Amino acid sequence: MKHNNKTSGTLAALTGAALALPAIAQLAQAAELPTKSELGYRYTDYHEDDVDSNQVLLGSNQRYEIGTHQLRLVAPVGERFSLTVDALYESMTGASARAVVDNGQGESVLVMTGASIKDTRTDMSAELRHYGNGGSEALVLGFSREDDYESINGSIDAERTSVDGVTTWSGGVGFSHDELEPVPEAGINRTVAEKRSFLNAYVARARVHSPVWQTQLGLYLGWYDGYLSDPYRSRDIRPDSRQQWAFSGRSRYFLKAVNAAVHVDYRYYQDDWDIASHTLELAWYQSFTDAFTVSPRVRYYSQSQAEFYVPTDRGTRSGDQSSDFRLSPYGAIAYGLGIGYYQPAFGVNLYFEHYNSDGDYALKSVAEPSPFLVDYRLLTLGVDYRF
Amino acid sequence: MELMQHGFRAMGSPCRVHLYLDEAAVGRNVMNAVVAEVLRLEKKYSRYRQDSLAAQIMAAAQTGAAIELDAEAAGLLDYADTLFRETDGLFDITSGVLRRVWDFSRGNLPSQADIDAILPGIGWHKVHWCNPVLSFPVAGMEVDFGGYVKEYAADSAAAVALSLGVKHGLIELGGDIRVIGPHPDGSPWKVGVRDPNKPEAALARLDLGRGAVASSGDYERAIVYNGKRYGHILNPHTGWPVSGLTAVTVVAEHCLLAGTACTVAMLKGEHGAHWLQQLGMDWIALNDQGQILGNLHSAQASEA
Repeated sequence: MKHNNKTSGTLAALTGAALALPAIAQLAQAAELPTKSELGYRYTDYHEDDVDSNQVLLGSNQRYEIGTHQLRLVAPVGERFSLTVDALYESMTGASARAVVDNGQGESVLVMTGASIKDTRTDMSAELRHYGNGGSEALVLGFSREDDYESINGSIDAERTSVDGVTTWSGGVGFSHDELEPVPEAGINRTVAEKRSFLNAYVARARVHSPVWQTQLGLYLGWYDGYLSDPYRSRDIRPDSRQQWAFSGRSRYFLKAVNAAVHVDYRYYQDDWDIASHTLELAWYQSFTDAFTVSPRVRYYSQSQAEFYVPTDRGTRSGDQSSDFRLSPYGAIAYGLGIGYYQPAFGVNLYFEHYNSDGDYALKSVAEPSPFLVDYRLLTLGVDYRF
Repeated sequence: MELMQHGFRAMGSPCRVHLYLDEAAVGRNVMNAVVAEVLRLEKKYSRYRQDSLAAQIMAAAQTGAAIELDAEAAGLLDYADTLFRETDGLFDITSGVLRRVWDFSRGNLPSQADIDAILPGIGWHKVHWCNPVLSFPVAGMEVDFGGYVKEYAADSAAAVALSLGVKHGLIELGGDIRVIGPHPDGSPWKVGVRDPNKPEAALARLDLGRGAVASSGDYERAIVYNGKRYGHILNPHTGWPVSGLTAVTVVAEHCLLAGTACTVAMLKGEHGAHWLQQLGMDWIALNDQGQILGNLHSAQASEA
């Protein structure tokens, strides 16, 4: 092992000394700049399984189906900048839960909206990134719009790699300001207009341990302030602030002998609504030729409930409460398979995922999970063109 | 965009620059500037030229004086200093004095006494290097950039091309190659690694879209004495030629790294292959038993 450390340190020491030479520093910096423009398109079809119709008291048993078109353009601007423009258009159909009530026999049943709900979302953002001094920094501005919702957002981030190329620090801060104007409905006393703001920050350290092994550790903080309830639920009262933090660790190990990479990602999340969650994802990226990769993935998720989560809405209860399944205790398992084909001028990729959530999958035993946890499948097709 | 090529001779080797350029008229200026960079480095670091920096350093070394160096030369010495420390003194830019007793143009072996007389004048640790001042407490030593300046020149010429707007091209200096960028359609350059035993055949064929490849071998200059072969790569500790590997080729991000990794692997002899493996480099080598080693596919394997 001693020999191992010595030699991997040797490469870092030599790279560091080489990068101190101006010509080599210039070449290394140029290698990080995008030299070509890239146009990418993704279509994602997301389909939630229907709710068992026996568990629906009123409304439709069909949950969301979402079709998403995403377009991305990355272009070098001059010698030191790149511009990335992202556009997204999403159309959504299906029903959402309005309330969870007791059916009189001690069972929770759903009151759903009608199936006629249709919504669209448009999202645009632009990033201007500057490269230099062994790193880059960027400014991102964007907006998002739905029928009942508007948001503007922005962020700045920076990244620096050490002279020997071994350690990369990155960090950023972002904000968003959202305005909601829930669609009015006759006979329902719904809030007219609400606002919320969101501030977040992250810092991460990536490290190259050897030519085949890299890791990244990250810390994330987020603060929400304002209206955080679901205006379409009949009884949904949530705190008007939410503080979040998360720690993440990633490992990428390349197995030269079989031309594959093992990705292991873990994330721990906690917030002041009492939700704590663990996410563990394992992926195997198998290259068959330089051009063709297949990547099976599996992800496990488990969360505890929000302190104000209630399995059924209670009109008599005072204070915060929500029966939203996303605040319930549960666990989930997702299986995915990605296939990619890459050529210098273009790339095609396909990804399929099946996601299944259940109270029994949670790490700790769950007294009363939401009976309406979601299962979904998604399929993404992407094409990229470089010119 | 058109592919322009220019062949010339520098640093004792045939050189060739391949650049994709927009207009022939402007292109010629770009080509001239890239070639001029190689010639500049040859002129500056050649110990055979009276007016070179290398000659000034040699003069200081011979009298035991001190000399202040510019940033580029200081950077190269810092690199050599790092390499000396990381290889326990195997890569030593003061070992050039061994040429006084090893003459590969004649077929004679030096005596052990000849070598013993030279060895005290070798040792980078005996030189005092405090960037940017190099001083020689021991008179009569030599400092020679020849062991790695050609590889650095490939990188430096690529940097000049890049600064003049070239995005697609390749610099080839005596078999050491630095890629500026792939062909304009994004396809990589095809680079053959020569098999020293079969000069017409390739030991491996590499696809390079970026980075560099360098080779080292003792098959070109050697003395054969009493049926035994003595290659021109000399161990600075013993003063004798190394054995174990006949040829090494390394792919790395920069030609300087690739070239010096080859040299160190050769110097390490039979342990060279293990060292490259531990370093995590992409490499191919031929040992003196004729076996092909390394993680780069051999031509035979990739054709099969």
